[in-house]
Amino acid sequence: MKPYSVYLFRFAAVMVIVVMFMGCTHTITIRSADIPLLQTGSPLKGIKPKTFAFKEFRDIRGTDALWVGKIGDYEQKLDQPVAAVVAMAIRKELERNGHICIDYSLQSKADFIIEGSVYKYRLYFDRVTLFTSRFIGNVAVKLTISNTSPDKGVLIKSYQGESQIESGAGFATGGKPLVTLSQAQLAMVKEISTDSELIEFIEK
Amino acid sequence: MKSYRARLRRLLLSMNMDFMRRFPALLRGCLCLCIASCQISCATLPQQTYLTSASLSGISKVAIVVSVNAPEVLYAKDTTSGYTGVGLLFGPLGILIEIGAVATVAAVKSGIDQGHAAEVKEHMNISHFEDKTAQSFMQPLKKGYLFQSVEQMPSMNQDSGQLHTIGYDAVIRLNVREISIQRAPGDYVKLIAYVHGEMERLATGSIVWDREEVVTNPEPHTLDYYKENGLKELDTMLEKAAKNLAYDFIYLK
Repeated sequence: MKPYSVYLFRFAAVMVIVVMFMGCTHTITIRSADIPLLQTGSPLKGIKPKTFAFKEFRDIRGTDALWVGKIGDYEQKLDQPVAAVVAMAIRKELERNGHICIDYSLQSKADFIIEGSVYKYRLYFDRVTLFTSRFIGNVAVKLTISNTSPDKGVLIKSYQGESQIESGAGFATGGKPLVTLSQAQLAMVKEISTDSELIEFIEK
Repeated sequence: MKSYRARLRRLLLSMNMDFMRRFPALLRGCLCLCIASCQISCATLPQQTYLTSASLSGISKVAIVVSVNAPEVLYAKDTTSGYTGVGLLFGPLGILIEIGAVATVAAVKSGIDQGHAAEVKEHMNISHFEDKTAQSFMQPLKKGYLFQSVEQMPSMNQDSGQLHTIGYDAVIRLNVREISIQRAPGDYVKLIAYVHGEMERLATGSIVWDREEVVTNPEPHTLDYYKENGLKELDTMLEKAAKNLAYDFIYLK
């Protein structure tokens, strides 16, 4: 039988390690380039090509521009500002369907001007039981699309996407945060890309 | 002094500080591997097969088979289960107490949810949802004149060989895999539908299109709202999912 001081020392050592890990926050950077593009069919393809001028999107989440969530001790951040990533995703979807996208300037000639406010871009972890959990991703943007022709109006609409991925007990490593976020962003882009009200507004 | 030591020993034993010593080395290794594997969670985006114009060449007569999974139609999950990990601070006993408490709450909620699920299931007319999904999918296809004929088959008649014999070139199978009601914060619930679609070229048996569409109702509502309007909401969601899947055919890559 070992002296109690040995057990006490071991116990203290374990507690110190636990406290150290509890106090540490690590940052995981998600590469926005790893978020894939939508590949599904879109009615945007059926419209005569238009030119869209993009104003800089705003991030109105009230957090750090790169922050997307905290899972355990892991801060999840994007490598680019969230607002820029959302704007790029919408831009690429329009381009994929044959439209032209440019940066907005006073001199730019475009059929539509797009402004956006990102109000949700969040990844979180939810433990369902002790051994099962899930990652949840939420992405939402409010778009203001103005037709540059006089009297053709403005469309203001919010679009959002959500994704859930079932997981095991752990969350420390692996690609689930990226996949969850990718799916949520793709779902939001799909909402835009298949929205009949938007298609009607562009075709008008 | 002796009683202090005895108490300390009991405390340490209750914290299982020396339980590892009783494990053989192999078991210790296995335990470590198990814990490590629990912490690792890998994932990739679900594999989907998208259509190209080449995938549809030579296909003119298409059969559509739609099925809605009845037995697993509704289930509930709790997004606010309440595992806080506070139990960890009180050693193994604390963890057990927390597991017990959370499991009891979960069991009660699960019982309530199952009751609600059975109630909603009773009101569900599966064939209505099958027809609705089929019509929402076929309508744009017919408008687009993509195929010479598109016909809905009864769910029973989905044997590929038989369909090929009676002259079909391909079969599109749409399956509403899961319809789930999930708890959301603040006594709200969300409705989510998973619709899977695949197209099989009957001559070769190859799958040329394989996609899953997940539709969530944009805002969570109360359970009472769904008791009143759930079927209407579900109609809209399935219509949307079916239309989105049909867009793959109309607006090819």
